[in-house]
Amino acid sequence: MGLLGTALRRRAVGQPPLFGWRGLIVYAALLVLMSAALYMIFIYAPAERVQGDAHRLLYGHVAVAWLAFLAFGIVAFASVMYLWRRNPRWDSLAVASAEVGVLFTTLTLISGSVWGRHVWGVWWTWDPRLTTTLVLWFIYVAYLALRMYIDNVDTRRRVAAIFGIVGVVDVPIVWYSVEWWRSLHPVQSVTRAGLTAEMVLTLVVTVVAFTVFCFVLIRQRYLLERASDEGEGLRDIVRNRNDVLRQTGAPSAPEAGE
Amino acid sequence: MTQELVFLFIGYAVIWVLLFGYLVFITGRIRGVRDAVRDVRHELDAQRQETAE
Repeated sequence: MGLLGTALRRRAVGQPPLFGWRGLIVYAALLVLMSAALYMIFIYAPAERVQGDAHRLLYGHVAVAWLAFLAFGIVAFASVMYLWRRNPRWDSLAVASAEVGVLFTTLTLISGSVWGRHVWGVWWTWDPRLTTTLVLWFIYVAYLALRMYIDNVDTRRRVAAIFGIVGVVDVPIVWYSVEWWRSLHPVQSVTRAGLTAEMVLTLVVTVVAFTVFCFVLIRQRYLLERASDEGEGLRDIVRNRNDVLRQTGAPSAPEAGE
Repeated sequence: MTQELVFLFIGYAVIWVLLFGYLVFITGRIRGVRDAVRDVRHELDAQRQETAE
């Protein structure tokens, strides 16, 4: 925990976000990975025997689905750490991961729906995998909405942490839904799905490209949350100071946002 | 390239554009919040100096 805590502390508010040369390198690496993934998906990987080209949508679909699970796992871990250490940085990491997780779950639902239209002939069906994924999306949208409606900062962080830990229970339910109930959805195992070596390699490259993107998004969202927290703290200082100055009749400073 | 493949390519392009759009949006917001924080901090410092004088 010590190493992880140190790494989190280094992401201080004063650190620059992805601008300048460092940002350029990260964005260039993302473009290269994205191009490689697109090349492999559309040119390198062979068409699937039964599904044809519609199968190519699954590389992106599987990648974003795994990363949604990972993001919600980070929410749960950061929430446990927040309840244990009461360090607001863990709460910032939790909210950053939750927002990115919701984004990736949205992409999972959209890409799955497009694939389903091609293969099943319908945009949506109340299949166990689809339904539990939709429930997962609602849980974390509710998590983000809940944070907006609790004014007290400590209460908000504590309630959100509990919600974030409870919500992750749906992840294994989504994962095992294709085994526990009768489902139209393909099985989750790469070996059981009958993929060729080229397909597996394409899937790996796509997952790596999306993973880098996911971590960049979480990092940026975390920095935004830290900056907002600092702004909130500063607003409190200005407000308190202005109250004192008003009492003494001196001119007060403008509060942030004025 | 088949019609289906073109549709899939557009689907992927939309996904990547949405992800990059979100990234640019977040980065822009960080810059905005930091600028606001810096301005308030300068105001506070200036006022502290005035009060001290």
